[in-house]
Amino acid sequence: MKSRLAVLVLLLAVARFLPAAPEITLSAAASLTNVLQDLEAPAEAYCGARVLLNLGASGTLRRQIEEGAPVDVFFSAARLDMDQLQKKGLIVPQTRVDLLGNSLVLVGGPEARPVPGKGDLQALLQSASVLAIGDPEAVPAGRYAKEALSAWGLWDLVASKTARAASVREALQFVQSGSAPVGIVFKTDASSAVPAGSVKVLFSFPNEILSTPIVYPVAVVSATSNRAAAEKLVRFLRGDTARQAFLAAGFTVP
Amino acid sequence: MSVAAPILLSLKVAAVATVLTFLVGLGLARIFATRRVPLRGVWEGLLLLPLVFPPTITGYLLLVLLGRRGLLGGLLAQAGLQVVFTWSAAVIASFIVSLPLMYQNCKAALRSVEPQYAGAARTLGVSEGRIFRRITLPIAAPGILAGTALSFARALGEFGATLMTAGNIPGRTQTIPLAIYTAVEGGRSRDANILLGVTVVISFVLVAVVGWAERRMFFPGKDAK
Repeated sequence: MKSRLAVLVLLLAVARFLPAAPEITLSAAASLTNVLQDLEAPAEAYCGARVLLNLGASGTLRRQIEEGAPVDVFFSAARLDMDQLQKKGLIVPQTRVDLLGNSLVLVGGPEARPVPGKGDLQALLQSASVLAIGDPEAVPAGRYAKEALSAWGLWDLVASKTARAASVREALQFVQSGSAPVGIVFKTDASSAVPAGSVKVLFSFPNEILSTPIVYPVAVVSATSNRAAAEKLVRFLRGDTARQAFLAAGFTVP
Repeated sequence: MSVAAPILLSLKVAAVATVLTFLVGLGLARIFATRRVPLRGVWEGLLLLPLVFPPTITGYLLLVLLGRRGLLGGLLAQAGLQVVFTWSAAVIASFIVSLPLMYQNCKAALRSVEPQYAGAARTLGVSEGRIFRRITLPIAAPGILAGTALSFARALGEFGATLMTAGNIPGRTQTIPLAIYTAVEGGRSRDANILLGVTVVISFVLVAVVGWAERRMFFPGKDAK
């Protein structure tokens, strides 16, 4: 028994020094899960390295980088988190790009009627019992929703009847399950709702009413142990293959 | 996404974490149940914290401690060891959050053993270690078993602290709860439902195993005589 254990320990010790295929870790916002999983294989071929995806809320991913987690590239769903890392010198500013854009939509159940204009939007929000949004304190989609409604003077009308979800997906779920008649989510969430047609886009908010545009910045993390491969990954994400996949998922590519 | 990888990983993490929890929880319970420990309230309070803290907070503190810039993580990094973003981080997270459950159950179980039995053995010159193994432990076994089952269940369901310290890397640190979270965020309800079903099955198997072990303890059949 003891000798077997010794062999195991020895093997483990040796294994640590064997050359392994280079690996780079991409920390990406949870809302990018599907499209990035589709891009994993072509990205690995392009970079010549294994790409490990670490998926979570942008705020959590930022904290991990701040505490020195081994991350090579950060792909955030909000400028705020990237700005904070940049201020602390934890990302390489020259590699930072606003890669994707998104827009806000009002969704309802499959039988709901689309809203043609701003006036009808007010009437609909007035009559709705509940409006599902992400929590404006913590969820970017909720923050944008509050900003858009405030810009049109509609926030006070709905503030007291908002159901505040812990993620934009949860807000979508509120509408899908019929718990809320209407909700505000990103366009990409509405188009990836399963089963298709379980929610209907009733209204699209123009991006101009937001003071901060909805963008997804990407950048190489300063502490990366493989800068060359990390920069290659960012180049891949800006390239044509990735662009097609992002457009197909409903993102805009500025 | 493969659903097999998170299942195997979850079982591995929960199993290793439960072994650690069992050894440390039982050891601490033995010390606290039988000896006078200075500042006992402080230690017990600290031990209970992971049960009171939201797991995200526990995870955040672990991340601060184990990260490359952290106190312990810095030392480990010098030794060439990386804990954050590996499955050992998931084990540590599960261990920390399930330890209070194991400790409390073991302490209650050890306390419930009548001291006369040990006293009688002592008059016959039996060593303390042997008294613990042959008298106290068998009598306290049902409570210890319950603590172990609770710890395993808690480790299996661990989400917040794991997400923070081990990350959510498919095939490497993505356990069942993290895979369900990712599947729901990505709108893949089929994967989420499969994993949910697997979790339910594992829970029932766990209940069945614990039930079987309890029956063996309380009603040892003919074979055990």
